[in-house]
Amino acid sequence: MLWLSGLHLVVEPLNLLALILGSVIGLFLGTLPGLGPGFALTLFLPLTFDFPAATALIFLVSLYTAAVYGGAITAVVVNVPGHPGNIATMFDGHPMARQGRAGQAIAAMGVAGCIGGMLALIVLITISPLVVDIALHIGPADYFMLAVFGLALVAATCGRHAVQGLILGGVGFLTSTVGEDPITGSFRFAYGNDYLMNQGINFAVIVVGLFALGSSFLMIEEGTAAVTPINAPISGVWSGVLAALRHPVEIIRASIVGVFMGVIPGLGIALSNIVAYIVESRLNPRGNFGGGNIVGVMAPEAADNATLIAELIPAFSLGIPGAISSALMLEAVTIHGLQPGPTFFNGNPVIAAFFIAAFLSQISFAVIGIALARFLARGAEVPTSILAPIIIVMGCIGAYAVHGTIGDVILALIFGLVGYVILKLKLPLAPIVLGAILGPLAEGNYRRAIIIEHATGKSPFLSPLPLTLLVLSVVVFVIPLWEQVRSARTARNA
Amino acid sequence: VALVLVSLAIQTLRPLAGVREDGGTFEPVRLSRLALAVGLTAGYLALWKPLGFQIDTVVFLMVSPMLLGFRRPIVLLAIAVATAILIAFLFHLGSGAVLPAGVLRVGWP
Repeated sequence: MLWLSGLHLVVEPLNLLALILGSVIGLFLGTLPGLGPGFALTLFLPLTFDFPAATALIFLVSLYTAAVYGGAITAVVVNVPGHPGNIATMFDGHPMARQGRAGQAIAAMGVAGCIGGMLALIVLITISPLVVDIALHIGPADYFMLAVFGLALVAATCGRHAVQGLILGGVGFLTSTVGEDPITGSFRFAYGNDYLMNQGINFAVIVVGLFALGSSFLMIEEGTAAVTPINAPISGVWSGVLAALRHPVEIIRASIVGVFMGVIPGLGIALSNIVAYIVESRLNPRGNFGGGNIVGVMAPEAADNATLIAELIPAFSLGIPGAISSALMLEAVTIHGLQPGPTFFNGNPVIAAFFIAAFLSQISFAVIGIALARFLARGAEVPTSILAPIIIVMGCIGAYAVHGTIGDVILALIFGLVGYVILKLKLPLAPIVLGAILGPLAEGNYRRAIIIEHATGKSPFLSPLPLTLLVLSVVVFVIPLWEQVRSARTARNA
Repeated sequence: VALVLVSLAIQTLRPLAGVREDGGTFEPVRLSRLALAVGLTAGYLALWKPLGFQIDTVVFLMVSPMLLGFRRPIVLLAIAVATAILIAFLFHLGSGAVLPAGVLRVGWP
């Protein structure tokens, strides 16, 4: 009965319009480099204060889910991630675009994202209390080992550049230590500089600098070489849809990764898309990952959308948001008079309408994306001489939006140069970002765990979960290095 | 530990010397074009405050493509003005931060 009244609310003409409008606006905002679901929500949250609660929440949830998909389209077409959550999408998405398969990639991502989001919604509605119970038992030592595991995965992301990848991961890790110490509050590596003391180095600025500015510099330096004009006809939109339906296991696996990363506060989509990509590429080592494998674009998108929805689980049931975007969604529901907490999931038709709209918005952004795939894929045909300056402007604005200071933009310019050098050397950029995200997670939790150890006299690192993660980290870390040594030895013998 | 560090350093520095693991070399860096890209961006940022975001962006989006070889000023002017206004509008709506207004004297007209 509750769900019926919720559905009744959603299908009101005004609310349906809000749903579709949210998807379209979210998709287009998401395509702008540096602006993701967080920015889209900050942009439109104040405008919806006076809307009826159901209309406002339906509009915002469809905006929220569509923005990451928009960013994935930019990742595929121009090889710049719209959002940190779209980094892994570039690995295979852009090679696909170069082969004239941008339309196929965009369609496949739409369907995969839709399935990922729906699966996460089912988890959200059915087993939310259980999931929250598990997430609440994850302590500092477990978080620390999760971060170590993430850093060990860096080696696996880089293939034959495992060693260089680890070094770059270390550089990223170091950037996260600049600024205020998370425990004592003293300043490190700031050298008396006001900007560094106040802000440190924000990872969003690093992403914008490395990817948007770095790749623009490369585009300009190499002429048209960085983004080749696509001469092949843009086709295969339907084959993309079918490809997504032919790989249900991969999409479901990536969605499970996404839900897991979303439920635990602080991990988020910037990590989940890369982890889902690594899982698929390691499980299928002969799959030509990095060369345009369609699973390589579907897995990150399914994980992203699953994470976005799963982030709402701790936000709504505990009032603990794990990311800026879910914090804004939490703000949106509280502003419209809904109380987060264990009872959030029962009783109110507006909440039922919110979940139904979240479900339908998965379909609406996928349909809109697929319908526009041919048009959007043409973005890659814009000449470099225009595209690169526009990406530079977007990048600068994306960096400025972080704190509203010019210091962020100057820092992004420096990271742009670093990104250029890394791209020119044909090394991967993702490890720096992973290091920068995992750094604070690892450091803060390690020191918290040590404090607990001193207080209780018992090491939290010796419980089953951290130990399992430690063993997994060693395995994940050693395998790519061992493979490298082995291939070098066979090459020498041959 | 020292041995590991030295081998890591050699591994990393090898590509910088232009030697790839498969023995090939990297494409040469066109320094003048790189300097142009970085110089244009630095100039754009330097003029951000004095000129204001909108005017600076229009100038940057006109000058850069021209220098990079795209010579259709009317098309460029349309793209530049549309991009500058759209971004300023979105920023005005969505962010608590204010874009430098410069000579226009208002952040969002």
